[in-house]
Amino acid sequence: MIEASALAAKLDVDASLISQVMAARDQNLDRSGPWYVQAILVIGAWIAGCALIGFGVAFTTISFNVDEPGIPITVVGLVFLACGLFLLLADAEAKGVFRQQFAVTLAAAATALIAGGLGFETESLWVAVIAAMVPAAFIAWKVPGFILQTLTSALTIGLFIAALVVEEVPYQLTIISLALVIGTVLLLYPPRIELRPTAISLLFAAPLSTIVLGSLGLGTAVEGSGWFSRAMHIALFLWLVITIWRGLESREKQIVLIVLTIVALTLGAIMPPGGSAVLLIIVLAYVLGSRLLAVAGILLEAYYLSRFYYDLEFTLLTKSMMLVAAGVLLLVLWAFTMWAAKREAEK
Amino acid sequence: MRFVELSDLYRLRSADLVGASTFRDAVAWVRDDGFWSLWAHRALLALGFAHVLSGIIFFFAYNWADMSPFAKFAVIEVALVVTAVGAIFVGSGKLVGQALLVAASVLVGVLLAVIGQVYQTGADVFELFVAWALLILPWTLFSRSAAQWFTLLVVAYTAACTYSIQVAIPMKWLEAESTALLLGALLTVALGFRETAVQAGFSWMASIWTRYILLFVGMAHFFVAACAYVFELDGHFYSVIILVAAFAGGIILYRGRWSDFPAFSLLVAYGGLFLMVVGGRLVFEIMADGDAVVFGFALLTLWCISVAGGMGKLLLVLRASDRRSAG
Repeated sequence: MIEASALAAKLDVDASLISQVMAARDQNLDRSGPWYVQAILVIGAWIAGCALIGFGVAFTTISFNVDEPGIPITVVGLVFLACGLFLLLADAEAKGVFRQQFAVTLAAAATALIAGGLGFETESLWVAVIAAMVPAAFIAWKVPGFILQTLTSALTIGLFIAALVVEEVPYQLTIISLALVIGTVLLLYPPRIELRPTAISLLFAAPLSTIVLGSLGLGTAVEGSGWFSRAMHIALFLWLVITIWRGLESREKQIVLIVLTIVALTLGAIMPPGGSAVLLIIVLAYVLGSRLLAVAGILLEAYYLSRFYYDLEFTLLTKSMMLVAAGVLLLVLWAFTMWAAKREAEK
Repeated sequence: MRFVELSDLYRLRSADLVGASTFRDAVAWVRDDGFWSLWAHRALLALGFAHVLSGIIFFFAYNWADMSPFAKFAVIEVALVVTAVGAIFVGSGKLVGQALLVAASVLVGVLLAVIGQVYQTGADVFELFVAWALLILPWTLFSRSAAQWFTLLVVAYTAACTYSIQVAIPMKWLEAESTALLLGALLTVALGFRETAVQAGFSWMASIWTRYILLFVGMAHFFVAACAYVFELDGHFYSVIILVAAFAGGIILYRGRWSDFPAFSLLVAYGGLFLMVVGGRLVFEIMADGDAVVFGFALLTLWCISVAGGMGKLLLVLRASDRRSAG
């Protein structure tokens, strides 16, 4: 933990600039609330967005009595998007909650309508992905706020994964695993544009797609041993370990880190990609100090362990050995961290 | 004294006051090391135990048919004795002791399942869970561990579920639609027990996650029962009354008495979602056919936006007011 003045000294910037940013945080907290209030508003906007999509589809198919509603739905989507973006971008500082909720719902539903309309017209999920990606990219670039970027980036990523599965693209798991790498990079080396919602959507793409596709009976489509995914996860583990290493000075902690490296390498090698992806999210939560990632990672790990039982890729004996080996490694690491903490306290 | 937070760093990055290469170092400066060290210790222990226990369960599932009854009992009983003695030796005041006690409690259930399998007792599944809950009750009473109480609650909840499905509903002692309400009531009683214990000074029960999980899951049961009535799937009007009563009681406690804003927000979210459900039902009751469905969707959209906006407005106004009062 660090105070504004101390951080300013370390960064060699004017302390008043950091105070201004912290004041903006307070203002933003009053305007958009803490994360759980934003999560409630995301759910509200998502439900309203579904109703609005229903309106768009019903309006074009019933009112105009058209057999091929692809283009009319796209046009309705474009009109909604223009209205939503106008409401969000005009007088951005003085937005009321109702106006913002309305605008976010309009823009999110519009993105889905445009993607759905063009996808339906061309009978191609890839066209739908591109149609969703264009407004999502514009929103990430120009529109401030978490809720809309979360909804549009999640929609684009969801459509992309659906396209991979439906079109039976080879190396699906590898491609989906790349999302984890991109999400991690965006969170650790953020660009100047606010892309945290997109980064978090990318981070959870692999584990959440496993859950959704598993519940649809398509689980095996994105599972598998995937050596390239394993290699990527090991590289990510090592990268995160190096990140932690940079902040360590005591010898005990460095010994713990060496053990952590061995554990990380072994876990990446023995655990299936789904399991190591969730463990990576937990390590990233620790590196960033993000409670949201920590809670989500622990919940996903609990779900993953219960679901791993039904994985047809390995026999129960193999799965049992994998889990016991991973568990023992984690307990060894725990024992080392306790030892290091005790040694430090004694000093 | 105010500390810089992670979200501030992202804002500083947007303002180009932190470079991309410095960002990682800045994260390390801003992070609360004490909190995250403790978290890492607990997470490693919990994840390690969870993986090992899952691995043991998977191993039994694989090898089950080939093992002799003696081998089955021997392995489980040795593990049970080791974990139980370990828990007593370490003490439930420590994290390792708590983890060992939870592991021993899980193994009691495994042992009961094996007894049922080997001796073909013919018992219903609910009897296993009832016996399991009763056997771990003394440990739980003497433990000072929220995790152990939570384990007992999960077993008792499963016992109530299986009893309803296997006995109460087939015997027509209970209607299927009332099951969610009764399970919700069980969870509400557990929440009440938790709050009373914390008020009485049982500080080991005070971990806030116990409140949020019980409140979230308990309200979910009442919500589902009330939605079933609204959509006329099944259910009774009293489901709605119970949901409203639980909502009101929660508001009084978590807003009026304890000022727990996240818990209050959770209740508001359930209230708002229920209003959306009621709106959806009413709109499509009136406008379900032909061209009217277009207006139905338009009305429903406006209704949902109004409810979500209303929730947002209420929460933000109250949050700002709380922050002002706290200075």
